[in-house]
Amino acid sequence: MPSRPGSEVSLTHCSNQIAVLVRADQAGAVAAALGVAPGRAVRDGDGTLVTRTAPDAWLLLAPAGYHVESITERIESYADGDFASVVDVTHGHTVVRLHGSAAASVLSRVCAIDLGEAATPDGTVFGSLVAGISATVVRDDVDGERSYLVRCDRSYGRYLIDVLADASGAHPADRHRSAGKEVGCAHHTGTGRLDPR
Amino acid sequence: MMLLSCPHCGPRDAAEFAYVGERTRRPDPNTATARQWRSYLYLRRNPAGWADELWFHRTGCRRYLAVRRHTVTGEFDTVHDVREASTGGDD
Repeated sequence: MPSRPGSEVSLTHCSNQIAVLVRADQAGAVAAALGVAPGRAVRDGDGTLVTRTAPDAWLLLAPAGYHVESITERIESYADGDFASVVDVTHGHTVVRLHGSAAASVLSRVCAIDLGEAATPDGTVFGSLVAGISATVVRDDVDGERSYLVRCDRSYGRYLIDVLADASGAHPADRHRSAGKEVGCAHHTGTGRLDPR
Repeated sequence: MMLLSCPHCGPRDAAEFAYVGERTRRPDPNTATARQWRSYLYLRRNPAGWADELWFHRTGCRRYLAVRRHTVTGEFDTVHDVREASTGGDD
């Protein structure tokens, strides 16, 4: 049985990050100016994480409050006749940061991708299934400590947070269990509904 | 589990992909006969053996892939991005 990571991992809700989806020709001027290889993520000078999720698609994750217009202008300045689309997709996502020495072992419980250093080093981005839902994962270590940003459609957000909390042993049900209380049945029998927490 | 090697993302569980269908060539709508349209829309080769198929990597690079798959053994032969595939199958 795998050890419970417990306190070696933290889960932070950061959906207030600004997300902008850029699509452009993979051989065009915008692709050349953004200059990130497919599957890689690079943090630029102003803190924006530029990730290339596909040969012709980039997901830009900017700090909360960042002006989307400045990204649009930046892409426009790159375009030079090249066609590109820039769409603010902030409203549609849930982003969580899974941080700590046990982050990889927690994520590996719900994701089939090899999270080892050789396959997915710092600065890797990949799209895959996380707990059965489509998600984008960016390995974005902080001060040398293992850290992942996991982004999914907003409608799955609550589920993603629950399932990652569950995998990290931080779920409320686990706390009850460790305190020697039986949970679940008590919540279910009274009302026939799950405790809304 | 079926493992499909995406040219962009590497080997992935086939559950990450959507099977689109056999790769067929759309006839020219200006010159196609009713019989050709019917064949294009409804008829499939459905071979028991190697088939040229279209798959969509829905959870990864979101690209359409031209896949050659053995429908009996489930084994994959070649996988190309349709935009980059110049040979094999009909576009």
